[in-house]
Amino acid sequence: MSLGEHFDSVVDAARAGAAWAVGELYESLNPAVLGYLRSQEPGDAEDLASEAWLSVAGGICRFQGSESDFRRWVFAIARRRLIDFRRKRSRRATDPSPPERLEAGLEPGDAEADAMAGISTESSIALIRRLPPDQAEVVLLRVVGQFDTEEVAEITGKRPGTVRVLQHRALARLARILSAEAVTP
Amino acid sequence: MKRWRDIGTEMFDPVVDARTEERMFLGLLEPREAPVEYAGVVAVLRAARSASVMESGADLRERVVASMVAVISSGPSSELSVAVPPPTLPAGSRRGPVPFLPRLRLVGALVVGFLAASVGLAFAGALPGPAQGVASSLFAHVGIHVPNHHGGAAPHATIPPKGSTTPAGRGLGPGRTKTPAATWPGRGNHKGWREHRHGGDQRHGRDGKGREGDHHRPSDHHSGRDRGGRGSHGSDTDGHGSRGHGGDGSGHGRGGSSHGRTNHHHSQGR
Repeated sequence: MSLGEHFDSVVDAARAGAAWAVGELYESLNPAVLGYLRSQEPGDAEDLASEAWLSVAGGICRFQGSESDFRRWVFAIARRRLIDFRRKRSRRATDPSPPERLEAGLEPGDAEADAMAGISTESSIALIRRLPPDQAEVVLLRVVGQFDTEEVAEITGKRPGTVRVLQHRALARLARILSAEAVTP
Repeated sequence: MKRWRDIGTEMFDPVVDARTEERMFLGLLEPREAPVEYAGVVAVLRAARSASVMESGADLRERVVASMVAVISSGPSSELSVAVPPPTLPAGSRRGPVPFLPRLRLVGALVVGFLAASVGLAFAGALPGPAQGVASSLFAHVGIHVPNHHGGAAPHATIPPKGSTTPAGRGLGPGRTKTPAATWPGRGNHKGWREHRHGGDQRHGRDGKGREGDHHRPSDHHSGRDRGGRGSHGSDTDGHGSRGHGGDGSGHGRGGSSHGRTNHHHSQGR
């Protein structure tokens, strides 16, 4: 959901602490943020999204820019929260949400037939998560976050050329995975 | 940059141009329009796209919005200001988090650089006084002579002064060392502690006289710890033995008067 021309007034009201404006901003972006986080950490996506939105609230007084800038900024915060979360989890050396949980939904079979018949969101996200992390992140930001290459580069701190290479390799790898599973009995 | 895990990708690299890739990401390509190898990929991307409309519960929304309003009302916090990146990031800038290992390497390099600089300064005698003393005593344990903060070497590192006429054990104590000659451009001679001599036996300065205007440079004044050599004189005596300088007792160490390379000094230990 885009706020369009009302974006500036909504942000101004949100800076003043108006609950309706904060709610508008949240509703406009949270589905995408939540989808992105859920595709990366299914078990903790809502907590991460909440933390990200609190960080947004802490910094919104200093925010200046357009609606696309705001989207990019919110996703950058969400990504940072995700990285922090993974870092903490690696220190704790526990994994409360194993990635196999979603992958269980991906049945090996005829990929072409699956493609034609339609593939579930969870299965597709699980397939993307089988990519190397940097490739998966680029694909998810492009598809779920619906950012272009330059925006993904900005969010991830990579160069646009690097992002293009990563997405190219990601697509090739996805095709290889699907092809390999298609021939697997 | 290729990695081992990319080998498979490189071997299986069906041809797809950048425009087709872009259409796949934008969801503008139907599976049947895509290259055969990519039909499944297009379907996967289209299905993943619907993940962007995931909704959270209404109660969660209410709680998050209320928390956000509370945070906004309390003003920007310093913790959040650190965590939140600026909204407008320059294109191509690398703002990703610094990984742990490179950060560790950076810290290690800084520590090594600091230690190397400290050792260099210690050997040059340029550390601050107490630190120089500590470095001197530390290096003395391993037999390396480093000047201490009095300008001398470590206690065991006695360097017999060149040209000394003082019998060992009288004026030259164990802590005596030499210090670099001090020069004061311009007038006469400024030797400070180095100018202890018998009157008339040597003349200093251009005219061989220690003129009244001669000064002891403050930096040439040493600690004046004349514990062993009380007779160490801080006064310069000119060729006539009449006008002394300073009387500062400068440059005298524990064992007695110090001796410069060229000037002969003596200590009148009483």
